[in-house]
Amino acid sequence: MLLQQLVNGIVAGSVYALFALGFNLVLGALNILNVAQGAIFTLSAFVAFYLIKLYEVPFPLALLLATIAGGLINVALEILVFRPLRGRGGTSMSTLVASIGASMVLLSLAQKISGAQVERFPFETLPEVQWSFGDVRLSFIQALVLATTVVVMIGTYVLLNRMKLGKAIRTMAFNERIARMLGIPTGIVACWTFFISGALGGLAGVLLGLMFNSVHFLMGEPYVLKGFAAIVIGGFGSVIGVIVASMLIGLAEVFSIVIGIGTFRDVVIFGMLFSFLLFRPNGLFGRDEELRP
Amino acid sequence: MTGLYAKFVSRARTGVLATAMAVGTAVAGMSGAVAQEIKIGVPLSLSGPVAFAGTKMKDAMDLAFEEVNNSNFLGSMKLVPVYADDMSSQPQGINVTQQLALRDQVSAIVGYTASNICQASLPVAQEFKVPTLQGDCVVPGLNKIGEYVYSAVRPSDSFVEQLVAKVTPLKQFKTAAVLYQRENPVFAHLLGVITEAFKKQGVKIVATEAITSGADADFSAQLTNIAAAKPDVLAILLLGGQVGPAMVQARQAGLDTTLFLGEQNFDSSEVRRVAGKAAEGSLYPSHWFAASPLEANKKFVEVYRKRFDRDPDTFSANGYNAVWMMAQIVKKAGSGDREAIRQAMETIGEMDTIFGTAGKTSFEDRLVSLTPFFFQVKADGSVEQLQ
Repeated sequence: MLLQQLVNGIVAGSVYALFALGFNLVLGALNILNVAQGAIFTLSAFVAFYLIKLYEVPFPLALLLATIAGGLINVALEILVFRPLRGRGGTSMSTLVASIGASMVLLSLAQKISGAQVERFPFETLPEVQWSFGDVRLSFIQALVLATTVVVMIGTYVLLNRMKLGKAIRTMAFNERIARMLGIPTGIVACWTFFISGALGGLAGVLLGLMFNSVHFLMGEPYVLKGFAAIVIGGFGSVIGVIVASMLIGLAEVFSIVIGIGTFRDVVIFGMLFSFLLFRPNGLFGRDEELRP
Repeated sequence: MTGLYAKFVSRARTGVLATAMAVGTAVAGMSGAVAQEIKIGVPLSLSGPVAFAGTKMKDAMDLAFEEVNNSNFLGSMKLVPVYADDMSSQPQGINVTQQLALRDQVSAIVGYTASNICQASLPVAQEFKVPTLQGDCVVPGLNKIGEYVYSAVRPSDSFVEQLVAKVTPLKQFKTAAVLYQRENPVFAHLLGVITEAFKKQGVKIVATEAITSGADADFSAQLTNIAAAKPDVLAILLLGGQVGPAMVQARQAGLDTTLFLGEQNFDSSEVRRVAGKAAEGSLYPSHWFAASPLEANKKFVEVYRKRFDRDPDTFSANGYNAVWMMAQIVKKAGSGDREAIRQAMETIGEMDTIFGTAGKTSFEDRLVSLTPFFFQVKADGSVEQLQ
């Protein structure tokens, strides 16, 4: 049973990681805590669900289109909400409030579309295969989530450290004005950052909807706070940090149930968050800021 | 005197209601007189985690208000619903109750979706002396709030106790487990009720696991613990939107032959649609079922299907039934005066309903009297009534 719970914890952590990586990208690069990421997660799941249910689109194509839709919704938010605010010298508080508003608009849209009902992907969307290794069971969708997390983690790391766009994002994260002085087209880079972030959120939404057999308009909400906790614990802007912290959160949740304190699992998670904020505010892998005297 | 009058009104109403529901919209507009508008507050959870139930209630309540008004059931009176969204939140439930009582000056309230919101809001309705018929909350104790608060549904505890007593010898359960949502007062209360009910039948509780909130979707860790205990039956005490996913995840966790048992919210096409074959064998009680042969129910199901292109479920039935009960109460009161409506609730006696086998109910200790049906889900997703 312990091995099975270990698998459960890693799978749960993988979903948090997929969500938090996109969240972290925008926060790290543009200093925007985009809580509408939860709504994008939800809307993308709905896009895939309706493509498959109504138009019988094959799953890989529906997943791709839903991922792109997540990215495009986030780009729309950047252009309509965040960029105008930045242009007027908006603070991180004003962008946070704006993202809460955007989130409410998107969630209302999701509720309207779905009639607030809980849906599930059609039964044959993915092979209903389950492998058993002794007492441990692993379903096809769980394996898919694990594999996707590994691919996304490597992809994000390569993007940020090896590609021109990633270097531009990191430069913007350091200082947007300096990036502009260096000739980086910050508007385009910001759009790409939002696109990748939304796409990652969308990817996570579809996979989670499939894994837990539940697609509903509030499905992304629990992930916003957990995603934020993963970023704080892992360290702002650190890909490895976010992955490690997400796994820690997934495992802490599962093992709090194993040891019989499941009803306090949120206390455990947010206790961890609080402790990091108090004693190691830069997180596990975050670097200390050096300020010029 | 009152008894005779109540009997007379009841008989007259039975005929009128049946005719009215059959005649439908035909009578509408025939009277040239200006209708007396009676504002009825309708607080529902139309957004937030309980919106899956509140929106279904609203659809059916819209239908019922239309039928009441178009059929001329209330003569020169007309019910005007004033909807308010409590956003599945207790503070907002209190706010909208205050608004309906003070700002909108409603004559009565019919509605509410979630039990925790009923617990918070109904004392406010009592305080402002607004006669209130709650239509969906199944937590016990609401009938003790005061003389202005009545319930159109019964608490689920006695239904669940009866279900356990009925099915345990039938299915020969030896061990049981419970998965419940701890922040919801109905489920927190039902945990104790169902545990006692199983113990009374000699069934050993081998695992009890909690989930934190109504927004949770991942129950794999709790179900892995439960699967290790190999129970014969698993009681699932979660929100309706969580029941289907929990059933599927339970099968994935290895509970291949365990039967699921629950309360009224199992009675939903949504649960069966999401759970698919995982729901096979599930057992639940309900005061209503779509296939009930009562004429009023057959008409409700037919009209609902035609209007919304889906089957009604318990939430829809609760909403529809509560509006028609309120219409009968207002008819007896003869006006929109709050005190007259309260007195009518107290003295109304027998009422027509789409619930139960006889199509009749009355208030006992401010609760409707209802006898539950018991059901089991079959392999093809259809439902059979347990005799």
